[in-house]
Amino acid sequence: MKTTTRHRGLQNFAVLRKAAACCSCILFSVVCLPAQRTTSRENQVKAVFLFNFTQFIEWPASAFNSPDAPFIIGVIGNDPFGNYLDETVAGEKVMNHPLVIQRYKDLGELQTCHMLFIGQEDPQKIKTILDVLNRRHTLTVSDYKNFAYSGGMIRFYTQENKTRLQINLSIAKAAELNISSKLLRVAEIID
Amino acid sequence: MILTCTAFFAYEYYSFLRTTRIQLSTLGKVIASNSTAALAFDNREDASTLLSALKAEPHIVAACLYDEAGNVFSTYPEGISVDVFPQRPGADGYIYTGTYLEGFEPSVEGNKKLGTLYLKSDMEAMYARFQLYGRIAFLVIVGSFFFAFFLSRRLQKTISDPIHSLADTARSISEHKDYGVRATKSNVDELGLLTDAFNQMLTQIEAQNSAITAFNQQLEQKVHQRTAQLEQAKDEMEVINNKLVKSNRDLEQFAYVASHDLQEPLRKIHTFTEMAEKKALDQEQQKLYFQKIKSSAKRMSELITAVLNYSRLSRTAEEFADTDLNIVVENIKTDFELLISEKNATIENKGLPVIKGISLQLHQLCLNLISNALKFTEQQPVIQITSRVVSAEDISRMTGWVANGNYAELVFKDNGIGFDQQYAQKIFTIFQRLHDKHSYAGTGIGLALCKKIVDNHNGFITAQSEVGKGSAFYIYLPV
Repeated sequence: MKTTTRHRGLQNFAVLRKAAACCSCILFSVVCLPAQRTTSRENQVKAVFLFNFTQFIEWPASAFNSPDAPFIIGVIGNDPFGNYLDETVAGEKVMNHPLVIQRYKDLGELQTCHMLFIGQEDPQKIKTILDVLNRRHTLTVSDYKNFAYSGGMIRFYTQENKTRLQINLSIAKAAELNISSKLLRVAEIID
Repeated sequence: MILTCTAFFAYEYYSFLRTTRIQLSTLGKVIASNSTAALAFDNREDASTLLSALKAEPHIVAACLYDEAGNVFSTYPEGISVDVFPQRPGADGYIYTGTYLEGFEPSVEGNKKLGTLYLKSDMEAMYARFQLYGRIAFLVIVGSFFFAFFLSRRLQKTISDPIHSLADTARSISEHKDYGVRATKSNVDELGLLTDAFNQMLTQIEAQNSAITAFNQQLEQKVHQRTAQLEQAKDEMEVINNKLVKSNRDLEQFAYVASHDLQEPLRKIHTFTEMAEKKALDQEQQKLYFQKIKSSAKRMSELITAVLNYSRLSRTAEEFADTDLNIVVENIKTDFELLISEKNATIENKGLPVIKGISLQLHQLCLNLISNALKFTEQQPVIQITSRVVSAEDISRMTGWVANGNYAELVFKDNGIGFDQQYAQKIFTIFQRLHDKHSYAGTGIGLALCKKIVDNHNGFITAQSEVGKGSAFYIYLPV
């Protein structure tokens, strides 16, 4: 927040605008780096995985209002990715749909999205969220241990320091999501 | 064949390179496409599994996956050092590097590049294939060589052999000049036709040859004939020439002798006529001279008659006829009846042969010899006439003359005055007298006539004598 203020304070000095821009960039990155470090290597990988899901899973056309409507990745509950997720998807498109990140503090904020990362450990809360999303074309992803066994679609887990996937194929199919066999190859299928 | 193989190899080489590249590219595309999820979700096990599927393709010696950042993600085969791979992925596509085909294939999902696949393939497949091709080519070449060999053997049998036999025949013909030889016809084809033509030619040559030979023989025969005729003519000419030479010699002799012998009575007549003129008064003397002139004229007349006889003998060309010499001698005995009884002479003759000849001349011959025997004697003449048959060899041995066939030998042997054997040849020459004409009458022509007659009958005459012991005349006449 401090940097933003300083940035605004320098705005009026037209002569120094360009130099200031450069400086702000440098300062921004310097200030931001500690924040990024807070995003663990594991979570960075997960953020990239979230983006990669868009490459291996096909959403039905009916999931979008228009051909150029945004593809919304939602994050509910704890957000372990920080800015890293935003940076990962920045400028990317899925089938001509620009990628957009939306964050929801609780169920009350939840809106229609195409992919939802659920940062919750409470089975009850997860069930509530999944119930809300029922019958919608939303890919649900979570770290929760029994996620794939309790109505969720994809669960991240760690094995030998690697992030692995558990996929409940029938739930995904029920949501009319077509998961590539290639993705299935690298995942543990739960039925 | 080798050119075809080379062309085929070249074509195969390039098509194989292209095919290999396409195959590798396809394989790369499949693997790269399949490896996207492994790259995207950082699943090295899956990537390894995917790459290990390359085992099915033994020519892939190495392969690796680079992640999005260009770091080596997974390698193949298991346990291979990372150093063998390029540190960073290069440009997409495949290139041949020495004996390897290597290249990069992007691993793309949707339109997002997730990594790069590197493949390295050796060319063993190609070499194996080329080895196979090489073997096949070798077999084909060897096979076709043998095929060609056997084909040429067969062709040689049907083409070369007849030509060889034709050439052999031609050679043997030219060596032995035997145009009766014929080439054997082996097949009914062009060579058979050639053989036929060759044989036909030989037949013609043979025919012409025999015609030429016949003509040659004819020619030779003619030449022989002509030569023989010429020889005969030459012989005849020689005979005639000899006769001419002889008659010429005779003539010369005759002229020489005539100048002496015929002039002698003339000289006497001349001398005595002159003397008679001088002694016109002495009648007695004149009478003597006239007597001498008369006897000289008579002698002259005798000489001329004898010469005429002799010359007539040269010209006669009468036919030969069988003449019985016994009758001839009997006739002569009758002619000399007076003289024989006067001299009390004895003539013994018996078993004389019949000779082919001119009877008048034979008569003359015997007459002259008997006359000589009666004339040249001082006692009672005894004349023995004998005959026998002798061969030509005997004549040659006895006289040295060249004769042929059998001859009748007539011997007139007397007991007269004889002559020296050295004159045995000379006595047959005309006007050769051994004795003074006053001692013994004669013209000197008698024996010359005898020789002439014997010559006319193709015979020989010779004499053997010793002074005072009689003489023997040997006459050989062909029978």
